[in-house]
This record gives sequence, structure tokens and C-alpha cells, in this order.
Amino acid sequence: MNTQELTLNLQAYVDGELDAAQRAEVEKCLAKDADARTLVTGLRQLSEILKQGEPVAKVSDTREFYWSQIQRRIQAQEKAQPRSTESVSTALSWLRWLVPAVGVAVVAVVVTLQHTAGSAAPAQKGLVENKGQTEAGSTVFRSESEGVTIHWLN
Amino acid sequence: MSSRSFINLRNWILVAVASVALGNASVVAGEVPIKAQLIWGTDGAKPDDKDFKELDPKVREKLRHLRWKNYWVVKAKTQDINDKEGKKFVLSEKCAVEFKELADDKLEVSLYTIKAGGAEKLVKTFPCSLAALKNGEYLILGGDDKEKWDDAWIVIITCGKVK
Repeated sequence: MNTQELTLNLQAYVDGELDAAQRAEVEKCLAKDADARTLVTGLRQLSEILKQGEPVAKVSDTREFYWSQIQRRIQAQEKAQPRSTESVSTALSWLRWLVPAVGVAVVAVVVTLQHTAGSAAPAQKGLVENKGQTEAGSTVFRSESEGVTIHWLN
Repeated sequence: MSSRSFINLRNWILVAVASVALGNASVVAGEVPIKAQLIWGTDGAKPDDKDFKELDPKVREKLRHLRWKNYWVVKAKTQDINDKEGKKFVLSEKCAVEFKELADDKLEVSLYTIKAGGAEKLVKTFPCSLAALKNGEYLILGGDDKEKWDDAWIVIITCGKVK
């Protein structure tokens, strides 16, 4: 085992990447070689220092709420975006069917109105009663452990 | 006094005491103090011309899922609600919240926006558990401020009488 190969093996040994046979071979080298032992000690210390010094990444939001906010913004952008050409061509293809269908519907409505001319008032009343209030959508986040429920309006 | 009339008198006293106790209990059980706080969430500083208070740190901890640096209390209001009628809290000239106690210890919270001229428009209704509020849970409603970019309005609803 040359010096470079030994160094790589020592690094892999410290990182726990060797199989049992390779580990035994490196340990045999370590028993004989003081420099190798020194290197292994140094590598272990370095590894510990790096672990302790590694900054902990913290975000102010919890994972669920963070992603729900992103989802909300994507949905808002999608609503705001103008229709693509694909959707326009789809709409035009629908128009071929829609125009005759609307014509038939108009005829049907006119005929129906003629038959129910005497009872126009109740029909209007029904329309007013069915007109409900449109409520805004919201994203809900709940933390059982903290006892918090958040409704974020879109 | 004969022993029979003494027993009758004792029964009447017991009935009277029980009636008073039950009457009081129904008043206590029927009225729930609900606290609503309108909060302004912002990364900016408190405006000089407003007398906003900083949000209580314990309550602020409940907002740790939100990202703003400062939370100013615009208005706080506590009022008893009961199961007979809805109570509306006007929290600002643009915002009101109505509470209505439902069956099975449920509470219906309706958020209103107040338009120019005072007309109110229902934004959304949030059903919630009154039992959970009584146990100290927080119901928080919020949204992005439409007038000021990157700020938010938040309404924190709690029960003033936590078990």
C-alpha cells in the first residue's frame, strides 16, 4: 500500500466507509505506523470540529406552513397569469359547439317564459333567495402540540 | 313543629338551594369571555403617530409560524358571549368579527370587512371548538395586507376563562 493509497484508506477508515477486511488491513497498518495513527487522530479531531461548527439552518416558519405559503403564492400567480394560446385555441374549438347550444337554450328559455308568464314573480323571488355570499378561500395550519390553528386567507 | 312538617320544610329549603345553585351555574356556563386582538404584522418599525402596544411575548410565541419581525396590537377587546345571540366585535374601521355559540360546545366565528359607508361584507366563517378555546387553544385568522406590501393583519382569538 503506497502512501497516497494509505492516506485515502485512513480517511475512509475514519469516515466508516471500509468493509471488515479493509478495516482489518488498515488497523494492522495503524498498529505498526505511528504517523498513520497521528493522521487518524488528526482526521477524527477535524471531523468533530466540523460537526460542532456546522451552522444550524433554521427557518422561522414550520415546514408545513412554509410550503403552504409557497403553494398559496403559486396559486395566486396562476390566477393572475393571462390565458395561454393553447387555452385560447381550446376555447375556440368549444365555441363551435357552444354557439348552437346557446341558440337552442335561448329558444327553450323563450318558450318556457311564454308558458310561465303568469308566474314571473315567484321565479324572480327564487333567484334572489338562491343568491349566496361568496366566501374567501383560506389555508389552514394546525399545530396540535402548541394548541394553535391558523387560517390564512388567500 | 311536627316531624312531618319539618321534613316538608327541609325539602322546600333543599329545592330552593338547588334552584339557586343551578340558576347560577347556568349563568356561568352560558357566558364565555372571548378575547379578540387585531394585530399588525410587519418588518417595519412602529409608526410614531400610533399608540400600538407590542404583542405579549407568550402570545407572540404562538405566531412563531409566521415570519414577521414585529407584531403590534392595534386593538384588543374582551366580551362575554352567550348561546342566545351572536356578538360582534368591531376591531377597526375595516374589520369586525362576530361570535356565535353553537350546540355541542362549538363556536362560529365570522370575519367581516367594513366597506366605506359602514356596509359590512362577510369574508369567511370559521367553525371552531369552544371547548378547545376554553382549554387555552388559539384561533388565529390572518391575511396579507392589501394596502401595504409585505405586511399582514392578524386576528387572535382566545378564551378569557381558560380551564
